[in-house]
Amino acid sequence: MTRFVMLWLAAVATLQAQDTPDFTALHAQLCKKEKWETVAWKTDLHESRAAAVKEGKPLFIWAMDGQTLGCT
Amino acid sequence: MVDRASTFADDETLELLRSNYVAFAPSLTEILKSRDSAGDFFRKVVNQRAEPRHSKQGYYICSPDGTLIKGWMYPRPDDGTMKRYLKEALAGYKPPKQVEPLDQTKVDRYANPLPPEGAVVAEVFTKLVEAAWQPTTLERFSLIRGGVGRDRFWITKAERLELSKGALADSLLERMIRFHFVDNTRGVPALWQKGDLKALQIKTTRRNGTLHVDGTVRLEEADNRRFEAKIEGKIELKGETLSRFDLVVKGSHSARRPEVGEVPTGAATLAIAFKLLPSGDDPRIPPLYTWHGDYLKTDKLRVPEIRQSSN
Repeated sequence: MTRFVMLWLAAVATLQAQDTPDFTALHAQLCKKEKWETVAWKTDLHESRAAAVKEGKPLFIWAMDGQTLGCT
Repeated sequence: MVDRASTFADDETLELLRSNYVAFAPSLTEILKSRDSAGDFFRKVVNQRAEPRHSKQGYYICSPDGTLIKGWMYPRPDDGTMKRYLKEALAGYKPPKQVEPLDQTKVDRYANPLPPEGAVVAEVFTKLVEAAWQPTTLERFSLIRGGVGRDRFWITKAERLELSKGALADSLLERMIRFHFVDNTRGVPALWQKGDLKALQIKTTRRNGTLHVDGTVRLEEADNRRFEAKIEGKIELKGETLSRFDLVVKGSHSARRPEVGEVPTGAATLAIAFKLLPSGDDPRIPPLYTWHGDYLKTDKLRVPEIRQSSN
């Protein structure tokens, strides 16, 4: 009987430790990476400028109100 | 938001950027005001664009010496202009022979805030998972209705140490609720005022090394917004190092006044997720509301007045 109770308590603890399906699914759905994140966007102008000089490439600037990569 | 869902979801555009350009994405509001050489350079570039006059938002292709090659804001959503300009600018691009160095010794930290020492950076994702809308023929509205809002969230060293003891600090909860429990899916939202926080129940339990968070929150703004939601979270630390900070907030959100664009008709279901910033991602992108004096506030908080906790 004691062994059964201990097994039951262990099973309950395991179930409680697992994420609920809604939590897991919703968290994954919201946090997934998007296509625009495949570009190596830089956020420091000096680093961007130095890379453009070194690589012989032009700068592309995407400028919006709020941080375009992080806000809104 | 429109850009992320349309222009920068196009494979050819992304490949052009990845292979041929150095892509720079600042916060326009901050860098335009930045009193340092980065601000000076940026203003020099964007002031070469003649139209539109009402805004500096948009896209710029320039040489690292500051010479503007292309600058535009419209059309939004893009109609192919982006790819055409990217290709045209590349075709005629000749790297400058000499680029003057900029003074990097002075950085305007008001415009370029860094996380406090010892702080951890998390990402915040927001989405209206269920919502009804007025019929529209505007493509821009159709694109952003299903979009995901993004922000960053700072967890201070003191709050991290509290988490290691199994406690959610009042300041952490207040910052999260007032500045991040917002619908930012269609643009910059208003924060919640202290008095808008009407009810908060939080329960934390530690099981198998994970701190489980369960709670409810109710926010009400007079004659406008209302958000009543459940909070569920799993937080893990290795010693004093935060290794997991997964939270989901989901509930009924309504607003009478459209702050940006439009609002759903009736109550919608707003979901918000938090997770630690992956290593390798730039931690310098600040949360939207770091400029607000209350963002890192630890005293005179609303949360301890109304918080009902159990551990």
